[in-house]
Amino acid sequence: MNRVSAAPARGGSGERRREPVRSLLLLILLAAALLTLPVLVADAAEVTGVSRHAPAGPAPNAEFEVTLILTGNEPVVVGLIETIPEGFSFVSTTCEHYQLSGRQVAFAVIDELAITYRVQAPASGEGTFTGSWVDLLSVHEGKIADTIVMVGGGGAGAIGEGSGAVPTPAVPAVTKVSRTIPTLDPFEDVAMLFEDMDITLLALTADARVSEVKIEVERVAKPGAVPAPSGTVYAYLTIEVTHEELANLEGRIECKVPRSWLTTHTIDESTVALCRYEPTVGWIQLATAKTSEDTEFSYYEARTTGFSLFAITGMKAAPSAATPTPVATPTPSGATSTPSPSHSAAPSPTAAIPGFEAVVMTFSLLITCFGIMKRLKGGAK
Amino acid sequence: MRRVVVFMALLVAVAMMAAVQPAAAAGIPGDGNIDNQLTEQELASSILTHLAGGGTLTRAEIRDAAHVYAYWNGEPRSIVDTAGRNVTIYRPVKKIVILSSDSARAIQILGAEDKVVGITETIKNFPFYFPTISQRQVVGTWKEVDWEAVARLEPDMLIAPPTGTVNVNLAADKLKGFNITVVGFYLYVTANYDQVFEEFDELAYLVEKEEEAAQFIAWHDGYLAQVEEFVADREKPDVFLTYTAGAIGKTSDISSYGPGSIFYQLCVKAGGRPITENETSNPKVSAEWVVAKNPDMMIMICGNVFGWWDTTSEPADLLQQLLAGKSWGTLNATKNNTIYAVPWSVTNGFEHTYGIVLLAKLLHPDLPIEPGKVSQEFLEDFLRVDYPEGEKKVLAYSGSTVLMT
Repeated sequence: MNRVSAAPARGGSGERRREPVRSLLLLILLAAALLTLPVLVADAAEVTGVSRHAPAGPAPNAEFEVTLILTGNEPVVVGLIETIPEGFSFVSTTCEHYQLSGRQVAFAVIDELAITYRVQAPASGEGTFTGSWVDLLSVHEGKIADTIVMVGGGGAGAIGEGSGAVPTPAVPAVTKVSRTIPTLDPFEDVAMLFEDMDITLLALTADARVSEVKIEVERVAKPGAVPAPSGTVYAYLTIEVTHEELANLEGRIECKVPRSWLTTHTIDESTVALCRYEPTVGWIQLATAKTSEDTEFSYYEARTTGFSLFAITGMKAAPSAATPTPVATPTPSGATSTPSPSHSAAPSPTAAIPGFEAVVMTFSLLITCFGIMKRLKGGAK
Repeated sequence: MRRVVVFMALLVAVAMMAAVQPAAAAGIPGDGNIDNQLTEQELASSILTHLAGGGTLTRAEIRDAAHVYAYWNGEPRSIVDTAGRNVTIYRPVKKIVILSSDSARAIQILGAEDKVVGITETIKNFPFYFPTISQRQVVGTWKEVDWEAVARLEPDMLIAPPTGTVNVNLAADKLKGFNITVVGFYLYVTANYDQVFEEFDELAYLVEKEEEAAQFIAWHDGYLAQVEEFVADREKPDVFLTYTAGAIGKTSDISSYGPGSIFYQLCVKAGGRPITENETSNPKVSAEWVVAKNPDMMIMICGNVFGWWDTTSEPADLLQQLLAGKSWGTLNATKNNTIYAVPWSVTNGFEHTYGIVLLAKLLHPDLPIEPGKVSQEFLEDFLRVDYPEGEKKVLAYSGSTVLMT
């Protein structure tokens, strides 16, 4: 349990002590903190997506595990409904609060970012797991991408080590985003967060005051005239930054790479780097450092003094005899197996991109409100 | 045909009843045993019932329950308001009706203006100060409120002054049965200076904006500490305080401010010594009495403006009217050219932080703080409105001395 503690209930009769000196210190500290720390958008407690992990080819009549991973921050209060395919039967779950009704299982997920449940496969056949979720601490809700399982092997999620197939690099839910900073004061670090993109954060600093700073980040295909950088490329991105006045802008870029991509391409994660393309120089590898990782991604950070075409690259790891590639061993019929989960297919195009629509809607509303207010103002003159 | 008419009449009657009906029932949604402690089990049970399509709670109520569980430790939030009433909320406050510009200012500083659904006429008249709030539905004036209009807005909370023509007890009585939490706050400086900050803290607690309240109070405390430190060892000029209607055209019964009044307190904090220190909180004095006291400075609060005048014409005219008919030529204040007109708003609610700095600057011109800068910070950082650039603003006027930005 990781709950946000609330302030105790208070009465209004107690005299408030005024401590000007301490308050002055507090003010100075506050100002210092504001000046030295990058301005970050606070991470709201919200869940923005749910993914399902299940083996693609469970053994006939075997029990297997389905994991639901929630993307977001705690505290978490989420309602989930999973529909188990015909012929498969629900066995148990790690989630404390659930309700089974026919082939539907409802879960109340409280302060957990992952739950698992066990299902027994039929003797043969295939089926599709479907589900939906609703975040009760935000307005987000959506569908969980379908997962097809084929008893005895195969199936859409079965691509993995040794199968010979190379999975398509995951395309993030959002591939193009524009932002505007009304004013950027000299040497003030202004950061913006990006959800569901390869870039997770971009912090900008200018050496002079600039206004109307427009930022456009887009995942692109490699332009034909540009040579490929060395190594294996995970993604190409353009980051364009334009502004009104003359100034030099520098940036701190944080990005993420799926761990599945590192594994599939046997990339040494310490070699992942952000490269920037300068037409007159070629590709420049930026000093890149790994900052963290979770179950899905490894996170990196690099600094740049310019903005143009970027590539996220990695180098192949040297082959090692000590780490043999795991080979799936068929489980005898009727035995209980716990195959390593593989990620389900990417969300279908019709699935909602949680949060994105809300952002677009809010932005549209703001523009509309601004227009109305402007008109009203104009009319009042 | 008659059946149709009867049916339509019934329909209209039902619609009218539905138009003004109590909001959701009191208590934390999902708190099955009504013990004011929403447990994980109770929340989960509500969610599962709702997902199965059953139960009485709406999706919005389930979200409220989740919020109370996650952020309030599953308990309601309680305070005692300034009228001494126990006020408890059981779910997040989403819609608020406010009945004064002081409340509007406090709500805006807290960044909770999006919650405001109903206002009074005064707030509507200041769109520059309250760009968002001023656009909300007007439900009355400071002395008369359309309570049915308030109920129709279905607010979660109404903020009313603890005393006055329209007060919190009247509001609670008029809104009985509508499940609207009524809370009594002045949100302006009273005889107990600290009270306004206690109210601010409590309001922030109710609308979950504690961090914003702390930031503002730190800003205020910082300036107050600087002023108090600066004036501590300095000689305090004798000051006569008055206001337009209390002094213009009068040679007797001139209204001033005594201990306990807002203006008096701000003047003392700014390093002045009001000559009414031995009087009541609302003393009436004669022009001769003022001559006998011979103040070093006179300050009249006046004008229907917030923050500043765009030109000197209004304060100049008001000062001329103040002095007309009074034999104050021998006063130190007259000789020193220190009879000032300052905007009334410097004593308003949380704008008084700027008011203290402005008064301190008039009383002690070597104070190393620019009042215009404080006003700008207040507007931009806390009210989040644009400070008009490039225009000189008249912050205080004394004929020969114009304090401008």
